[in-house]
Amino acid sequence: VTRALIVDWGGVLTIPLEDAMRGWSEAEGMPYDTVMALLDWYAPATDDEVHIIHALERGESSRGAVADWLALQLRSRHDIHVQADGLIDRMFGHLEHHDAILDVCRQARAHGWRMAVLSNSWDNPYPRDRWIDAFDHVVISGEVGMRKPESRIFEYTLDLLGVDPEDALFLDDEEPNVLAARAIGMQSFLVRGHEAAAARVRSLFKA
Amino acid sequence: VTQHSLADLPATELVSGYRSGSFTPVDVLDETIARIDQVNPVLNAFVGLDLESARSAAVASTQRWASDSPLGPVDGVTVTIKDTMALSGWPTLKGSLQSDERKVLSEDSPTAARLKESGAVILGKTTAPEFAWKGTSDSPRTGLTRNPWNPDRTTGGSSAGAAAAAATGMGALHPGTDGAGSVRIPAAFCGIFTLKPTFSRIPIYPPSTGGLLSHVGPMTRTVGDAALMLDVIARPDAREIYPAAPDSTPWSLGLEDGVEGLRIAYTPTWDAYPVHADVAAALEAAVLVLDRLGAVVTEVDPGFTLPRDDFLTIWDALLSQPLLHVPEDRWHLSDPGLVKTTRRGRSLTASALLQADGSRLTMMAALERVLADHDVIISPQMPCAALPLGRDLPDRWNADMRLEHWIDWSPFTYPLNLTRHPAASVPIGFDGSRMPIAMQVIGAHFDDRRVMRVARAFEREQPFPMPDRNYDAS
Repeated sequence: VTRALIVDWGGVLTIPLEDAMRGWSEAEGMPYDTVMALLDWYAPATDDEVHIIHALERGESSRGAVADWLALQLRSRHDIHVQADGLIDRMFGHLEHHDAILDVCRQARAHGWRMAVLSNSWDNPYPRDRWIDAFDHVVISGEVGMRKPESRIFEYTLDLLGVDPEDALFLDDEEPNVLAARAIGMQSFLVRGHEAAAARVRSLFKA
Repeated sequence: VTQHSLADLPATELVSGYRSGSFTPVDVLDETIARIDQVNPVLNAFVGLDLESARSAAVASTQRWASDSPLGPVDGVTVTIKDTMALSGWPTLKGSLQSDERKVLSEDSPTAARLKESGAVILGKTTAPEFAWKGTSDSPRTGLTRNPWNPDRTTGGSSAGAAAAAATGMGALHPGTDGAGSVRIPAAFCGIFTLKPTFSRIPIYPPSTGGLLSHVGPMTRTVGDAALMLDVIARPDAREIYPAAPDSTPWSLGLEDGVEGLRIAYTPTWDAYPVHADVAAALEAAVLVLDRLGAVVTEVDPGFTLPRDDFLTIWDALLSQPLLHVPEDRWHLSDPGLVKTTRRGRSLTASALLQADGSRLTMMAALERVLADHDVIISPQMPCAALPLGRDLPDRWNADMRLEHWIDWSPFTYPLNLTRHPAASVPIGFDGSRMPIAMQVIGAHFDDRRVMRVARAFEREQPFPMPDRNYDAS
């Protein structure tokens, strides 16, 4: 029986990440594919490399450093010149709020579910006022020094909520995170369209 | 349309022109500055130019030639200095944002000192990847340096700007440094000549990041210009800590003697490395030229295993040094590949390094076995033509090849940094996309002159063409 719901923030409580990243890339004059290939946060961790986005998500780097790094890669490898100052802040400006999944979170809470946000942060502020009322806990990667898809951050969140993995449902728009949650026994939905994801959660109330 | 310009003349012809009074160093500087204005905005070969000092030097040289009293063999010749080498009045930035621009040097490297003493006109400093750690052309500080044959390709590196400048007449003589292929890779990719001389033949100071792998070499449009440059810079300097025996024989002596009767070991590849078909075909044709010129060519498999892992151990240990002095929270401003190198290098043990250094013995033995019966060895210089711009790895041209580190596409260069043999890169033709291809000529230790002689014999038969520089049209 599902007793807890854990939701991602970027791309789940906001518009789809791709829309935001495309909007940001276009506004900054950066080719979207080049930017995504550089940021590449899906890349697996290796022994002799510290992935700068992984470090950022664990709170070991800053958005200013990553902005400098990204601008440098674009300039030195692609001859593309962007304003490094505030580059990552402007990216977050494109992550507009989206209500569909937040609505279903409120309904779940009304059904007595335990609720958490679980987000990989980029040293960014969160508009908590908009949704803090719907959750019992907010787990931010940069604050806890762990990142999705590391299993330990899921276990940490489950502990906070006081539920077993099989009693928790996890919503995320990135497949590696969904697979990692499944691997430790959680139920997981990959968000590809907010309405569809909201409907799937809602169907669980009826069951 | 290529117009005849003094900027296109080799240094040997500049000096004869000065001597005969056909033109002056100031005339040459003017046309060279016009050339820089034309092509450098596209190619980005310079960290910085100091054309005011260049003009003072050209004026002084013009006066010396007018009174028939040149300072030395390259008086009034336009030259550049690679920004890994010390030049007084300049910082050495080495392509890095970690370097301090305010640290202006008051001392010249031996190469810069010899060129100045001989009256050369120094134009500026040429680009290199960060701390010369790789064989391509981009750096955090200077961005992309573009190939004169196709600006969407890399020049190769690390002597990136030197090669682009040499190929387009932005100066006549260009010293580079080579710790793993850094003069030969860009020379091959840009269709110019270079010699990595026998180790320490050209003194180095301050010691290079490349340590005991590092060599200084001339990068020029002709073999004769390299010989002229060697006359000036291959001279002892008290600061070199591994000095070679002095040798003041002019480098032009015997340069035209040809290859008749020379025993050439032709090695189409090493360790079964899959050379690109266009390179293999061009090399085959070049060897036929040497054969026709009377050389005794024998195909040989040198029979060694590429010392890839051992070399990388040494390379990582050396190239980790610069960033280890930089706080880790600033490493994001460095080339990610150099950061990776630094992380690998700092975890190495002294024992692992010494063990890797043993590869010098096996490589030496393998090459000396071939050189016992042959005067020179010929190999491809690079297994492929210039890479697309901004990438550390090319597209794979063979399904089974290992392609993880830049040295994986430069198998014919780094072994000779371990063994310290002289090795020249000689342009021999073009691939299907009209990018230059080169052969490597390798000689016994301190037999650099014979290497130059083979290169010159080939050049006389098949002079090295220069790019047309019509960049605006593309």
